[in-house]
Amino acid sequence: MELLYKTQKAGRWFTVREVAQQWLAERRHLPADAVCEFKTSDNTLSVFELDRARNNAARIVAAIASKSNNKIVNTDCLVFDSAILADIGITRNKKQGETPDNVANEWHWDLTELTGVQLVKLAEELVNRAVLLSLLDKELISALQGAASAGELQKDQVSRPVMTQANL
Amino acid sequence: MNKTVEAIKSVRSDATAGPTDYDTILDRYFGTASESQSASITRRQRESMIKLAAVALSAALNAAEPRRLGSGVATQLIPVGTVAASQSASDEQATAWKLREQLGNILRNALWEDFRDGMPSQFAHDLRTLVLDFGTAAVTELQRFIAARPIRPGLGFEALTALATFNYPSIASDRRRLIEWALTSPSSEIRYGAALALVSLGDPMAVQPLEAAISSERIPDLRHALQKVLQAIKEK
Repeated sequence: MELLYKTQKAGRWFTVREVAQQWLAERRHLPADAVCEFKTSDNTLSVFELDRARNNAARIVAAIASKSNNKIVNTDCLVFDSAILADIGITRNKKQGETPDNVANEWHWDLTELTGVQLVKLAEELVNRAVLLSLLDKELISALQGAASAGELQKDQVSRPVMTQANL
Repeated sequence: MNKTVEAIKSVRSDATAGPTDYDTILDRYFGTASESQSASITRRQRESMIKLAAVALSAALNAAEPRRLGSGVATQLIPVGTVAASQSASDEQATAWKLREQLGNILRNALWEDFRDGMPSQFAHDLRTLVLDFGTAAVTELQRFIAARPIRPGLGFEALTALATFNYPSIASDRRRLIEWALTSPSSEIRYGAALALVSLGDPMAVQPLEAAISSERIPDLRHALQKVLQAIKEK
């Protein structure tokens, strides 16, 4: 199974990965910035399950972005094999997501009880093995509109700027 | 010195005067020396005249376009030597100096700014102000700056994607040149920023440089992103 992690800022992963790969080759250590890309809360990292063709990626990212008080913009996410987690000993628990999209919430997983060492190992694995998926604002808006027209979006939870932007 | 004061008064009285008007005024007050005349003027007199002309012109320019040149430009333009005096006595150069200074300040202020998806940055705001003040020259200066100094890739990314949101036709040509140049940057984040700028603009003229960028891109993720951008532009 493939998992999706939304990055903090579009574009930044390219530099983070380049620098990290250089550090790993020369110093055999990961730079701190690479770890900072993964924002944990209560020692938990939020990820989503992708379908085989990654067709639900836009819908997941749109669902995450729809709660934000800013407009939907071009967004990056990392895609990686869930087998990585088992190798590092990271526990994953299926947990209902908290986005306005009822269907996207079903694809949500929590990586729980993360230790600092596990986070560093996860970052290193993702530097070496994750695929960056670039999602354009238009496809995100389209995915959100699709969710809305299917009646699967809780519009009252969508931020006002996104409601306006997506004509919901 | 009286001539200088009169020249300044004359130009200040007409704040809409253009560069040609300044030439006329300076000719009126300082005269256009022919070869025979200039031969009879001592080197010291010529230097003095050029200095005075520079002071008058800079004061006049400041009076005519305070927003564009900013306050204090006149005093910055007071020349130290003859060469400096003649060089400073040009609108273009004074503007270029001010632009360079302001762009440097903006980039310095943005060094530690933490850019976030969808959040308007102070840097983007400052860049917009710079473009409003200096027009398309700000875009070419930005390109010169990025080419001359290694800047944080995130800053380059932010600059490109912010520029793409400015709806000013006057910068379109230089902006396209900057973005196409950025597609060949050694930094993958800047190349990506250029691609996202192109998708925002949706300019069909971007197809060819994008195809070239795709064929030379070695990072698979980035190549896929560029292909997606190309497809989005073609579908527009």
